[in-house]
This record gives sequence, structure tokens and C-alpha cells, in this order.
Amino acid sequence: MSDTFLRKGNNFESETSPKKVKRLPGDEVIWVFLLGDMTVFSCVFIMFAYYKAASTDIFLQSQAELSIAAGSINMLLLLTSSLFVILALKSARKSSVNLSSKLLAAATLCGAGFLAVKAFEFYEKTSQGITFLTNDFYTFYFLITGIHFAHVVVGVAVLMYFSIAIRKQRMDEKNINILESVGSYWHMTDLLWVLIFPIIYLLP
Amino acid sequence: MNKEIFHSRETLVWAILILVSFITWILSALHGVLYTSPAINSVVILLLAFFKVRLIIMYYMEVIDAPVTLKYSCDLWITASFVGLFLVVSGIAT
Repeated sequence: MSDTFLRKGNNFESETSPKKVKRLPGDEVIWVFLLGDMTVFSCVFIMFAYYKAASTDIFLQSQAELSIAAGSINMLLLLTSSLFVILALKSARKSSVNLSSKLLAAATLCGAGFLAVKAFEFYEKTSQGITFLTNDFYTFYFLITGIHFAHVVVGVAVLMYFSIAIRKQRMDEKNINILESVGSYWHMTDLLWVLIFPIIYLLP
Repeated sequence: MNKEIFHSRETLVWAILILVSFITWILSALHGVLYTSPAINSVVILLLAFFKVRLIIMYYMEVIDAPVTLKYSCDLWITASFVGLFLVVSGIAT
């Protein structure tokens, strides 16, 4: 699978970039999982849009009951957490484990913040008597955001573990590879929210 | 904390992601003011969303430096997902 190709580093790097060799970030197994997961979500998004086209009024009425502010805060939290994760990986590659640990901890906090905001949204809806069975919109809403929530829970737990464990690990190729896989999983949860928020909360 | 780590391509990507998120929010809030068709508004918002998704895949998941097989697979997923949604929200497939 690997191609060999030499590229110059870009001007935004703070250090002198070495020539880059094309390599797989993480391993093949994680990428099969990630692309499979993303494909399932895409199919559900398309189904949501299809059902919305058939029941536009109900969907728009229910959509208006969602909090754009909460969704926007969660977007900011996940985008920022992703930045922290990629910077943590770059630090780990330079064997700056203390900095990497702090960045992973910061990403964990952002993820925890997302979970808190989302949990509040779920609580607010259920306390108003709105559930999975209220109408088709809310069936999709709770299904999509609920499964995404579960993904973020796993991601936060793993990030928290690595923010601690990295201080005791030697940053060899194997551990860097694991961190890349963890990072890719987290970025997937981020990109899924990048799609979930506009599709469910914003599209007219 | 080493501030130099933030002077990077990834931080620039983050700034672009935040800016595009803000633009998307503005477009959503101004629906009916810029243009009346919800289908056009939806397609524009989706385009911006998938632009952000591609930035995350290429620069955060580091696929831009990955073998072409992975790069093509990711671009195929992005394209297929966008086209599928486009066909439905534009009314072509409903």
C-alpha cells in the first residue's frame, strides 16, 4: 500500500521541515473501521434528508426547538479539541511528552465539555416529554446524536488514558502509531459533528 | 507551554474551520434574506460543511501525506456523501 514520495515541508511549520515520505497514519485496521463508520453515518444522514423531504413541516418545526447556541458551542469545542490532538501528536513525535500530555488533557477537557452540553440538551428535551418516539425528526435526532455521543464518550476515555500514560511511555514507532490511530478516531468524531450540526440543526 | 507548537499549519486550519463555521451560521441565520430558495441555502451550507470535513481529513488525520489509496478512499467518501445529500436536499431524488 505505501508509496514513496519526497515532498518539501510547508512554510507554516515553526521548525525546518524534513522532506516528507508518504505513510499511513495509524494502521489499516483503524482506517477500515473509520471509513466504515463514516459510511454508515452518511447513509443515515441521507435517510434523514429523505424523511425530511417527505415531512418538511414537522421536521422544520422540531428543528426550531433545538438550541443553535448549544450546537455551535459543541462545534467550537470539538474543532479546538482536534487541534489539541494533532498538536499533541506532533509534540509526541518530537518526544516532548510533557507538552503532548498537556495537549491531550486539554483535548479531553474539550471533549468532556461537549458531553456536558449534549447531555444537558438531552435532559432538556426529555424533561419536556420529547423522546425518540415523538416524531420522525426526533427519532433521527436521538439516534444520530446519541450514537455520536457514545463515540465521543469512548474518545474522551481514550484521550484521558493517553494523556496520563504518555508520560510513562517511550515515544517509539509503535506508540506513535497507536497515538495516530487514537487521533484519527477522535478527528472522525469531530468531522461527524461538523456534518451533524448543519444537517440536523441548520439546514432549512 | 511551548508556544511555537501553535505556529503551525494545523493552527491555520483551525482558524479557517472556525471562520467557515461562523460563515455557515450567518448563512443559516440569514436564510430568506440572501436568497429565498431553501434548496440553494442547503446546498451552500453542505458545501461549506464538506469543505471543513476535507480539511479535517487532510490536515488533522494527515491523509494529505498518506498513500494515494487512502487519499482516494477519503475523497470518494466525501464525494459520495455530498452527492447523496445534494440529490435529496435539492429535490432531485425525492
